[in-house]
Amino acid sequence: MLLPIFIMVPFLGGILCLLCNQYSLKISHYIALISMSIVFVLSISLFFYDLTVYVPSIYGSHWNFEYETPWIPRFGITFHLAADGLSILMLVLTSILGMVSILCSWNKIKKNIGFFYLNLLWILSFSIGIFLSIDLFLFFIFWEVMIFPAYFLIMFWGYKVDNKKTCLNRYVAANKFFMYSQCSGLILLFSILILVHCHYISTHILSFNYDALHNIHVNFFLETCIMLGFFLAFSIKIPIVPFHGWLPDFHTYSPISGALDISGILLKTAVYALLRFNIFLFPHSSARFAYYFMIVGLITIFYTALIAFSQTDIKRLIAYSSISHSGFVLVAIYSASQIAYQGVIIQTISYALSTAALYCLIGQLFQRTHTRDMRKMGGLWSSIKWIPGFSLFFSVANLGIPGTGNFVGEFMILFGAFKNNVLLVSIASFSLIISALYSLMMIQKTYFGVCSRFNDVVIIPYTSFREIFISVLLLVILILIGFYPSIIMNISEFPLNNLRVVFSNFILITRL
Amino acid sequence: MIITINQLISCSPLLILLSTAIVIMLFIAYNRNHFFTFLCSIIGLSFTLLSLYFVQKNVPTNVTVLFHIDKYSLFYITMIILSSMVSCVFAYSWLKNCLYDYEEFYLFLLFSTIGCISLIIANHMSVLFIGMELISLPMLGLIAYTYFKKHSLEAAVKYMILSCTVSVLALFGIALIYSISGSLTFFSVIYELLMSISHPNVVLLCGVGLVIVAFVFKLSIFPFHIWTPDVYNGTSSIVLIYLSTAAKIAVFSLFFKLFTFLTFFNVGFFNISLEIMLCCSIIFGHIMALFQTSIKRFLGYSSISQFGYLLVSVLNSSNFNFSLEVVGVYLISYWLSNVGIFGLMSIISNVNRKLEFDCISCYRSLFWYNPILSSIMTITLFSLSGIPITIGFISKFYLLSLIIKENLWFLGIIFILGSIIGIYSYLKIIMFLYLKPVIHSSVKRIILDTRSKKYVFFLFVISVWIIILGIFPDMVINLISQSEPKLFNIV
Repeated sequence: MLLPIFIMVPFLGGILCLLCNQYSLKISHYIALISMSIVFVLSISLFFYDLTVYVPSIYGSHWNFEYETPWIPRFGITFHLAADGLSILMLVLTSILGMVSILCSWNKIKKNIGFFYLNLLWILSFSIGIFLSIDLFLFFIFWEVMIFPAYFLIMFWGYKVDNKKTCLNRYVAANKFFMYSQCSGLILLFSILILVHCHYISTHILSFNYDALHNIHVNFFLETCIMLGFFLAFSIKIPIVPFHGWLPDFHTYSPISGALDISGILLKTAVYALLRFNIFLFPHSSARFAYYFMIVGLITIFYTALIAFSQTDIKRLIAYSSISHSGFVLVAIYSASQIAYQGVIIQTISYALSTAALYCLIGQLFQRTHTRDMRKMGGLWSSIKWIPGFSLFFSVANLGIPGTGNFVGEFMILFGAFKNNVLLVSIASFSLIISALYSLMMIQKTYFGVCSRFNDVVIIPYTSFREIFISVLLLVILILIGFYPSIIMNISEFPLNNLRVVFSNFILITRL
Repeated sequence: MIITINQLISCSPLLILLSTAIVIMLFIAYNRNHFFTFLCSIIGLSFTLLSLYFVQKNVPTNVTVLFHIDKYSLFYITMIILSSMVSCVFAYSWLKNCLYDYEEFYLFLLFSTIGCISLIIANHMSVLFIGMELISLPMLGLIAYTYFKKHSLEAAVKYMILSCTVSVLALFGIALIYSISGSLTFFSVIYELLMSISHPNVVLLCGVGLVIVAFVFKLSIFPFHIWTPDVYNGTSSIVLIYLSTAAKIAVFSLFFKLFTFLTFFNVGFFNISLEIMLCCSIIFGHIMALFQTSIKRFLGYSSISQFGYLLVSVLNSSNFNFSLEVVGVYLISYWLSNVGIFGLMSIISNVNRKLEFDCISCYRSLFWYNPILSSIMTITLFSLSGIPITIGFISKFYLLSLIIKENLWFLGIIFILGSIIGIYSYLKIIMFLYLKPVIHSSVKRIILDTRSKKYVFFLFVISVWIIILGIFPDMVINLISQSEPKLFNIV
């Protein structure tokens, strides 16, 4: 009964925020914060259970926590939630980022606060649903429904400049996001249904259960088709290069605080899904296609890193850099190496945190300078107190300096994948130079040099305690992961190994 | 021929409605009273609904050779009666506000409902023809009811000419069928088709093809869809509540009942032509809907593609039961969302009589003036486009699983393409609702009086049901699988 609570708390909290909005403006903040902290505490408390599962048999349950109740018996759909170490880590990440984004938007949202927090909390709630749901239909529902709050967040609280053209562009960006997500959802639905139908034909059991569908035997061609469908659906959301069109626009026009949410969580759901579903359900055809997918990942890394150079908007730059890092994740996932898999998790988590911190800082900067254009900034180091220092740290963390979680993640990915894919990984490692370059360029353009424009504009140098707290919190977590990554590795080792073993058998077969 | 009590009871929905119509006619002749007519028709319809409970106890039955009643038909009769009730209720204040001859409206509506019901329970080609005419002739009156409005007469004339042409074709088809089978009951027609499956009889196939054309015209499937957007455009939204739901549901229920056979026995010609028609209407309807500026035309085009989707259910090979569920769920979702959207449009145009609330830009930034109306509209449009947690999604889900079950891969691709285009076109309208209001806008805030607030509440309930059924579709699925008929007791 513990698992539905994780979904219900933010969901109901959102509704409560909307209802309380009429009576008092400030109370919504606290409701949102409290509901996310409940989720956080509960998810931390999951660690204190015994997380070892001794029997990873095919038919027995290998989940640490499970909740199941019938939903649509006609199709064999159940409301089936389950969690293992991997999901728990994602849960913790979601709740931390949720709290940070609520803190971030504390004073910035002026109108319709209740509705804003409703959307924010629902995004969190639905993404927790994605991380927990094991029934494919339920997973799909969460996958689709998560679009709406995000859509409304951009529509109502998006990047606001009093300019008609920006306003229109914002709607276009929101629609683009919606359409891309819908395409991804439809493809996903189609592939899920084919998969279920194949399972039904071979066993005469109609079920959307993940564990049941794992054991199907279909011919290779059909499996490949289904796998490609899943991959396409997920890669639109990650996003991988040919399908990345929506992300930069989305980031440009999304609200300052909402973007943090979306980049941190929305995109990580796709990585999680790729790891959880694509490899585990279709090990055979994934193995056959692994090399091509790794090449696609490589293209993603370099293409977006190079594009990031030409950006003038800080937010777009970070958006592109985050696409570039998801390329690393793709390479690692299809390398089928245990170390790389650990790296994926650490990279995902620490990258989410450092990007979130950067978005947060940009938001604070925007509040003071009213621009995100790097050409208009410069020489801000001495005018604002804390923000430049933190930005320096996080952007350096972003490029993976030793001592932060990002370094551990990248190192493990490259190290793990190197064994089997020497050439590919050596090329990929060169991208670190590019990422270092654009990160430093961003810092240099924003904070150093001559202050070109802000001589006449009054900048508020004061930094509130709340803002410092957010940055310090994320900084501490990042350094903690950097110096002691075993906290994550111990938890995620068993489930990741499970996934990898299934996959790597096939990899070895295809290699030989 | 002896008619037993049981048969009379089974026929009672028709009889009650007929007597209501007669009562209303007499009263119109004696003394015109709007409220009384309204009350009378509502009472008649509710009694009909009540009588279904008694009918349900002795189904399936045959009433002479003409009618065959089973649970399947009861289900659709319920939907039709509900939709004519809803349109009566909505029409009441509309008629009161803007017209002077109002009693005949109810008469037309009742006659058309009788046509729908007799079409659903038809078991004979003559009933099929009469039922179709009985639907479309009063409909003509309803379409032309606001004859002083701009496009009204044009729509009526277009509908009349096309529908008459098609009726004549259907009549010719029935005659051709008769020339081969010598009898006009559905049983004999299907028997004849079965016998000639190895070496098809060209005359018979021609006849059946012509009857199909009639059906397809009424459902506005691709090559015969031309009337739909124009008629939608010229008709008032209250009539559209009825026209878009009752007439189409009735026609489709019979169409499904008859023509699953043709594909079941693999009459290849029909299979292929149906597939082509439905693919074209899915794609064409959605693409044309993209470019519309009038919301009624938009919904007309989208209804073309909606029925294109629904036609997939006819193409089954192994068992009917699944397709029956598909049709049931799909029609329920279609009913709910169409009543929702047209009801909403009628309320808005009723309140602001000076503005013609047809143009999409009239709905611009509705959310900022009236959040409830706009959320109702959003939910219904989302349901039409098949987005999760609405009943529309469940119906799309059903259709997609049917497509996969029958291995119709090409249709699957068309389905996905159509859905993507469709979502885009619906999204365009939804986005309009949420745009920030223009400062110098001519659109005034919509102020609702108490009566329209009641209507809004009703629509709100409908939109809540759309979501509830989307989350717990089991209720509908159970209902439909219970209403699963002894459909084809003939075979």
